[in-house]
Amino acid sequence: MIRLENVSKVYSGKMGEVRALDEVSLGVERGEFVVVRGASGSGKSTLLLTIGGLIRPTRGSVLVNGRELYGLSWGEQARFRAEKIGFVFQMFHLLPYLNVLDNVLVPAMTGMGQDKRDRARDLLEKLQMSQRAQHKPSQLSTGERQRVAIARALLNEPELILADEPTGNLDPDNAARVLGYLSDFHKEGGTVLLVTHEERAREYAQRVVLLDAGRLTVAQRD
Amino acid sequence: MSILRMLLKELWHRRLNFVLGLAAVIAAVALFVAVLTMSGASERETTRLMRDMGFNILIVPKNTDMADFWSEDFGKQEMPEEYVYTLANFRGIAVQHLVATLQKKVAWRDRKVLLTGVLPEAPIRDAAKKPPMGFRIPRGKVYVGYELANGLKIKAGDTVNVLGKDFVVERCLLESGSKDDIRIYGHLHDIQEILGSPGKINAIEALGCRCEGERLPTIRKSIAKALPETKVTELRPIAVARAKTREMVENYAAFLIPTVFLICAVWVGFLALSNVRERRQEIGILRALGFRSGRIAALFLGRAIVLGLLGAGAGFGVGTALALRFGPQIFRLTSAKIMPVFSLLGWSLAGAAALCAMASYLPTIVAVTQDPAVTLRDE
Repeated sequence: MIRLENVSKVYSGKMGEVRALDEVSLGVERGEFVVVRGASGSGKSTLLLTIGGLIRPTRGSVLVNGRELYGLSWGEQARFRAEKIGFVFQMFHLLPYLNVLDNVLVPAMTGMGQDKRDRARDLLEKLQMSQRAQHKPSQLSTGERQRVAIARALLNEPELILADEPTGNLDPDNAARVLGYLSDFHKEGGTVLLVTHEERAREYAQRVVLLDAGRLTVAQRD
Repeated sequence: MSILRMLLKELWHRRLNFVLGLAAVIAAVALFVAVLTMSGASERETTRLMRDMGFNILIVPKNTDMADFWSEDFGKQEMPEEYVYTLANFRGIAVQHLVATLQKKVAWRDRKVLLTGVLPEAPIRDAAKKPPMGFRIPRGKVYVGYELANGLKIKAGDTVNVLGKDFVVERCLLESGSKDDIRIYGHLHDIQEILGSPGKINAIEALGCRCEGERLPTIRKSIAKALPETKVTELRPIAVARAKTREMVENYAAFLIPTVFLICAVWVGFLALSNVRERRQEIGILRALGFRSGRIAALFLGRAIVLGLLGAGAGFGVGTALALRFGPQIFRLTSAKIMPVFSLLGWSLAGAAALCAMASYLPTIVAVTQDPAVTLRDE
C-alpha cells in the first residue's frame, strides 16, 4: 500500500542542517499494523507526516498504491488525506470551539459530499462517548479527548491510520483502550502505522520498526 | 456542519478578538456614516455662509473705467439689461447666481446715497436649482441702508419719495460697516425708471465657479464668449476666502475618512494575523484532515466578511444616531436637512466587508501557505 524508497528529509536552520530521515526505505502492506519506535528526535513524527503527505521529502519517493504521493497536486494530496488517511495525534488537536459531535464531523467538511452525522453518532457510541456529544473538548478528560480524536480519524472510513504517540498523554487504562480501538480498526481490515513508546503496542503490531537518528535500523516481523 | 457555522462558532469562542475587531469596524463605519449623513448639511451650511459673504464676480461694460468704478463704487457706463438673460441662457458659463444691477450716486435729503436697482436672480439654463442670492425687492418697495434709516429716522412701513416717485420702505437693513449702509435698494425696473435709464444696467454680480486649473481666466473666457462687450473683475478677498474655506472643508473630509479607514484596516489586519497565529495548530490539523487551501481561506476570509457585515450594520446605526444627535448642534442653519441616509447602509455593508477581507488577505495567505507539519511536528 505504501512504499518509501530512499527517503531523506533534511531541515535547514540557523544551527545548520538536521537530517530527520536518512535514506529510509519502508513498505507497509494493506491491513498491516506497524509500530514505529525510536528515541525522541529520531524522526518518527517526520516519517509519519511524510507518509501522510504533509512533509515533502528532500530526496526519495513515497508511493501510495503505486502512485508518487508528492507528484500529486495539492488538491489531490488533500483529497488523499481526506479519503484514505486518519490522523491521531498525541495532543488530540480537537477544535476547542466545537462540541464533540461537531469535532468528529470536521472531516466531513472536506467536500466528500455525504451526510456523516449518523456515522459520527455510531462512532461516538462505539467509543462510549455518545453521552458527551454536546460537550466541548475543555470539558473532557484527556482519555475522552483522544477517543473523540479517534472517532474523527475514523469518520471518513480511511484505509490507513497514522497515529503519532496517541497514548503519550494518557493513563495506562486509557492507553490500553486507545490501543484496543486501533486494534479493532486493524482487525476490520484497516492499516495502522503507530508511532509510540508504549511497550504494550508490540502486542498488537505485526511489525516493529526502529528509527535511530533518522535511519531505519531494525525491521522485525513477529 | 457548514463553513459558516464553523466560523460563527469560532467567532463566539474567541469573543475578545472578535469584539476588538468589531469595535474598529463600528468606529470606522460610524464615522463614515456620520460624516456623510451630515455632509449635505455641512455643504449647505458652507454654501450658505459663503453666499453670505456676497458676490465675488463683477461683469461690467468693456469700456468701464475701473478707476472711476472703484472710487465711486459703480461704473458710469451702462449695458443692456438683456445681457443678464443672454448670460443665463448661454450653455457652459463658469458663473452662477446672476444678479443685474444699476447703481448711481445721487443726492437725497441733503445726503449722497447709492441708489441701487436689483433684478431678482436670473435662473441659469441647465443649472441645478439653488436658493437665490441677493434681494428680491417687490416693485414699489425699497430697502434702506442702516446709516440712512438711522440718521433720517426712517422705519419699515414709511413712505419715502425718491427722485419724484413714492416707495414704501419694506425693510431697514442692519448695520453692515460698508457702503451698503448708505444704499437705497429698489427693484431694478423702478430704479431704471427714476434714473431715466430704462432697460439699462451697469453691472452683473455673480458667483464664480469652482473651476479646475486657472479659475479667473476660465471665467473670463466663458463670459467673453457669451458677452464680448463686457469685462470681468474678481473681488479677490471674497473669492479667495470662499475658495480656501471650501478647500479646507473638502480636504478635511478627504483626509479624515481614508485615514480612519486605513487605521481600521491595519487594526483588523493585525487582529486577523493574531487570530492566524493563535490557530496555527488548528490550521495544521485541518490540513491533515484533508482541508484544501480554499476551504481554509474561506474560514479566515469568511470570518473577516462576517466581522465587516456585523460592524457595518452596527456602525450604520451608531453613525446615524451620532449625526442625528450632534448634527443639529453643529449645523444650526441647515439642521432640518439632517436625516438618515439609508443608501449608506448598503455602501457600508459592501465597503466594510471588502475592507475587512482586504485587511485579512495577507493573514489568510499566511494561514493557507503555512506548513502544517511545523505545528504538528513540534507539538
